[in-house]
Amino acid sequence: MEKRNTNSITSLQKIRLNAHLMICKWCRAYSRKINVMEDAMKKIFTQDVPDRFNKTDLQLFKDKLKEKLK
Amino acid sequence: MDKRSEHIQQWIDTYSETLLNSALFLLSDKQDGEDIVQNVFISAFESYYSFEGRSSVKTWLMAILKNKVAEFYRKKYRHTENVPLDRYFDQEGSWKHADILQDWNEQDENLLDNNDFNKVMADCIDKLPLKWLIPIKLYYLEEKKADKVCQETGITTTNLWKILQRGRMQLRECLEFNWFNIL
Repeated sequence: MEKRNTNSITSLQKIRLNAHLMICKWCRAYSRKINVMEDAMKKIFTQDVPDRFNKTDLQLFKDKLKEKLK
Repeated sequence: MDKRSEHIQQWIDTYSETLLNSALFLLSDKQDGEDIVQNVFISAFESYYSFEGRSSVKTWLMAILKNKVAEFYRKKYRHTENVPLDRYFDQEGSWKHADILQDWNEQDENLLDNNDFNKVMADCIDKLPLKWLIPIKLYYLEEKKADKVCQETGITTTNLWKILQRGRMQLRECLEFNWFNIL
């Protein structure tokens, strides 16, 4: 199922996976949950990262690095 | 000051914040993040003349950052451990626990637009062990190009799929406990 989400499985593997999902209610239930988590993770990992450095630390970092690379 | 030094100084002013926040997002450690971003600018200084300008400066620096993070991961987690799945599957490969069968109430079409849900999801993601979290984040940031992530981090493709699977199993449990009230 992980590989299916990235289209990394062969046609034969896809057929076998779909056949298994038809008979295995456990994996079918998990597959539905994967889809929700996949959408949520894509959303979280593609949005802008939050600002977590305060301005003072940021300026100290810049000054130290600029001095080093002069 | 020569042109290279002048540009690097400008880039430090312009891009440090973005790179530091990205590094912290990937590594979850402020000191490691600062060390890596420092190395990004040193690499940029050393390979300045090979930058052909085909991408933006920001894109180029972010690519260096991702490489540095992958290098950090390779060094820190050099001895790849087996990713255990026996918590969820028995020796025959069957699911151990019936709670997997309990459906989520994902009929709520606006679930992904619910800030509270996204906060719980983000908190659950942060609880994943770093040795899984870094490759998982790189995987999504590299637009799910598994081969690229494997090459950069030194993980086999089999282990990457196991990490993704194990990570999702743990996320499922965390969400079912903290949001869906199943566990």
